[in-house]
Amino acid sequence: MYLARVIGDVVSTHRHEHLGQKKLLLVRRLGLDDVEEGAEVIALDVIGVGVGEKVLVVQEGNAARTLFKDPKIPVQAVVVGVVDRVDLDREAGAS
Amino acid sequence: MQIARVIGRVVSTVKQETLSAITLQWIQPVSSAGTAVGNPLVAADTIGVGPGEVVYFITSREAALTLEAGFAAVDAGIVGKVDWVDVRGERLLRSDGATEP
Repeated sequence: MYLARVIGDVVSTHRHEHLGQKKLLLVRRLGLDDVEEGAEVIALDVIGVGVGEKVLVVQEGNAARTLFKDPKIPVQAVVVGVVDRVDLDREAGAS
Repeated sequence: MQIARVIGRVVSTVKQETLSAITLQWIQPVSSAGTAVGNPLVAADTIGVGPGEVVYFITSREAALTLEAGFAAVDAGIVGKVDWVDVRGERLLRSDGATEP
């Protein structure tokens, strides 16, 4: 799992049938000091989060298929939690 | 999954048998601002997309899940078309290809 910021919504009408009508979020991974890094990733939402929130993303197909109870859903990234707080130990993070 | 723009269709006559009858598109990953990110790649297409369209795709093992058959020698598959993306209140990457400032 990784920490990410929800930066937007992706609207898509014409989509793979196994995706159903599930909401698509655009997220970016967060580094130290909440810096957004890396490519934008489309993740599915199972908890109902909004743009701007800091979230927990699982990026693994087996986890995603288990969450949605569908062995054929073409998904890797799923938002599985809202992060209230991270207590960062700066010395440990730097080493 | 990531966003990409379709930049071409790949035509291949001689190919491994699990790839037969699979449409292949050449796609360029893009950011929500429409700028290219990384290298173009070839993705299986079961949706039916065309050049210039904005789509999203999945890679690795899950790419085969976009296909009817359980296994095929693919490592990227198109999952859907993007109508538009709302990023922090701005509407970007509309399906007609326009991006708003």
